Amino acid sequence: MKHLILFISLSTCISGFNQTLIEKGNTAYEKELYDIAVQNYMEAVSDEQKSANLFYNLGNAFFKSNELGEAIWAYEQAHKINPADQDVIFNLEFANALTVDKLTSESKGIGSWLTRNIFSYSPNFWFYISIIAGLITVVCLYFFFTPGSHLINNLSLFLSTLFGFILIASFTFSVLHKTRLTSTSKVVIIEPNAKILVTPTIESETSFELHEGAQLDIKSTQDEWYEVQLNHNSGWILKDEVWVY
Amino acid sequence: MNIKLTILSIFLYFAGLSQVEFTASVNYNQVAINEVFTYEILSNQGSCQIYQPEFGGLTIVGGPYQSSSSSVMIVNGKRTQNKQIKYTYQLRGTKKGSYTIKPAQMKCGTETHKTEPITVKVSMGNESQTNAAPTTNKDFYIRISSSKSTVYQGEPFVVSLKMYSKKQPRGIEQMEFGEANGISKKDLNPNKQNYDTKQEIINGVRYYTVVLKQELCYAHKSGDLSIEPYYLSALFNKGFFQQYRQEGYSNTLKIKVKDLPANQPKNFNGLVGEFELDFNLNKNKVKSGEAIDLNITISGKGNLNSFDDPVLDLPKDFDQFDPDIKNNVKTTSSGTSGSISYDFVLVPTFYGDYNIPAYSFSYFDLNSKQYKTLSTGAFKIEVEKPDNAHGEIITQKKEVDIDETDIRYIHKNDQSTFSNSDIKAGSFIHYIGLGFPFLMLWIILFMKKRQNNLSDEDRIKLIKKKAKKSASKYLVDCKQLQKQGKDADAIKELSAGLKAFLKFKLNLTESDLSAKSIERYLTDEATKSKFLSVWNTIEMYQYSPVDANQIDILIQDTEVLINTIDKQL
Repeated sequence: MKHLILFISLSTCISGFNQTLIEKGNTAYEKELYDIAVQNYMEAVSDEQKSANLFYNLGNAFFKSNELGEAIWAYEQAHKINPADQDVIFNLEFANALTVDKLTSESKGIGSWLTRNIFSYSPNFWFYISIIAGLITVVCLYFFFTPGSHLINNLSLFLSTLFGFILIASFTFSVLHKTRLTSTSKVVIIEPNAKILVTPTIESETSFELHEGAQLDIKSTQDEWYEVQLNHNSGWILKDEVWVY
Repeated sequence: MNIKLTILSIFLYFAGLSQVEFTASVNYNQVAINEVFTYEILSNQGSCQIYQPEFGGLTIVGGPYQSSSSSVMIVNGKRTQNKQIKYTYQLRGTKKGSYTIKPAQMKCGTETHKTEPITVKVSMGNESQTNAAPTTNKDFYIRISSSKSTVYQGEPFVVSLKMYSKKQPRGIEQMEFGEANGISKKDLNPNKQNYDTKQEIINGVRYYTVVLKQELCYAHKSGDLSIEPYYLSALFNKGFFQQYRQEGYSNTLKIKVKDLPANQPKNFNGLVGEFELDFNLNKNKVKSGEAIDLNITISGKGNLNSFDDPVLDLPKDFDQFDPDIKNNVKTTSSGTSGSISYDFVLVPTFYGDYNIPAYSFSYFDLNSKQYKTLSTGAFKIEVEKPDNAHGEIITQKKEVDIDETDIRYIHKNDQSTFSNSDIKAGSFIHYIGLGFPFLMLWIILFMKKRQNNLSDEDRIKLIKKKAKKSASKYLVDCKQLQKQGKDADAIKELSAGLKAFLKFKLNLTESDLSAKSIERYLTDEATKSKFLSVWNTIEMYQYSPVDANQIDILIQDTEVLINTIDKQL
């Protein structure tokens, strides 16, 4: 049991080097030196470190230096990490309103509500919940299997069932959350305008054209090409013209 | 633009009647060899002596022919007499070259007047036309000209359309105005009906000139702008009753428009010129619900028409009505000037001290060539509570206007970050953390179940194993008591220890604890006799005093007995 407590008490590691980079970026942003802010934030990001606030600030810095596509990319990353942050949602909508292509990608309703409420916690939230639920389930089961009064038996059966469900749900959520945070499925166009081609060759015919800030789903990848999908249209785009998130 | 003009009468008069007029002119200043042209000297002084000029090698074919005319005009009872004397020479050049006709002289008493020298170019045949400047030698041409060739964006300049003809024009038939991209034009005399005809001598050739149109122009963009040619057709008399038409296009006018300097203030919207801002607030201390009059007047010279109506940045607690605008702007050939006055009525609806931010605008000053900003300055309005109410004059809740025009600010509170490797979900630790408690539970339950499933015999065996342990407790106590000298108590403990051992070992009840029943379990004869002797000795010692040494021996014997029985059973 002592080992388990040790595991649980392991907290997320915080890199001191990263924090100074973020602070430098914040200071530069305050002084309206947006290029320098972008540089510092990007350095922090490139260190495999991430957080909703870091991407949000990076998005702001990109936005202020008129890099709309990159700004949307950063806001989307922040939104992915914390889908409930209203500032992120606002700035993302603000930036999206400035893009040339008006694409309907509004996702409202039960799906977005679930996303907001399940994935807005810290990355290890559901991990801890599942561990705690597991422990409580075990304790309840112990009481259930140990001869005792009728009341205790019934109560422990009920509680162990309840926490068993919580355990299964939180385990599922934790795995889904990890997938959400570690996988990439979309691209945002960062070039002023980009051609989506019919085949993954330079000489190919153009299927359709999009502008900076447009977001597409990745279907597959091949060499330096992504096969992308928008609504029901698909085509190929050069990896250089987009950033994935 | 295409304006059709019916035949308009042109009043002809000569400017400067009272002044001395003494001019010389030719009808052509570029001629072919042996082509006859006319040289005229014109004077309005009848009593003066006129001297013929030297013709510089040109041959006089005919003349001088003298003609004179006089006219009397009575305007408003004032009588003016006008006399004109004209000397006409017919000349020709016999050789190719450039000839200069020297000035003619006129002596009036002591004063001497001179005409301008005239240069006449004599060339071979048709050559005259090809070498000629396009306009100098035509009977009829039109020109557009600008008052300034280089202007700033928004700086006013005047474009004039002027007609030149050798004959006196009878009327204007049609005018068309060329397009001017990036320039806005405003007719200075839109209802002009009468045109003044003047006489001008250009390079020695006399022309009738008419200024047909004057337009005030502003350039909207910088660069080399051009005004496309204007078209004009005019009518002339031929004989007494016949008319003929002459028409033509003007030149293309080039205007160089300079861009305004780059450091434009934020509140600059293209005003160029000189302006003044007058600001007047009738009171700055009112009760809520009372009106305040605020006047803003902009006056000056420049493109006032492009002035944007001022917008006051008032607090939400002020009711503002559309301003009463008095526009007093006039357009003259020097540009637009005048004033625009705005009367605002402000009604504060809630009490408090309000700071009203300054209203300001910027313009480009043409004299100093730099931007200037005029501002009303921030001012303060004190609004007091009304007399009747206790400050509760809000009849309806106000909507709070939230209009975010920029992205929200960065987050600076939480700077902790994580990497993908920090996510523990689905990792080895996760499975261990979940599996370990269940494994422990299983082990614990398994152990307990095993305990519950033991048979009676096994349980007895287990109890028997404990027998020696329980006896040894009593023996330890017994030894202690004996050392303290409490012999009787020590014997009691010894008896209890032996009984407890036998009870557990032989699985007996309390009532079965007698020498006879115990004897039956002991199969070995030696042990049996040993047991009986120990048992009896303990019984005996309990009721009679004994020597300490004997108790020691008894304790040792008992220990030996317990060990033996324990081994045997």
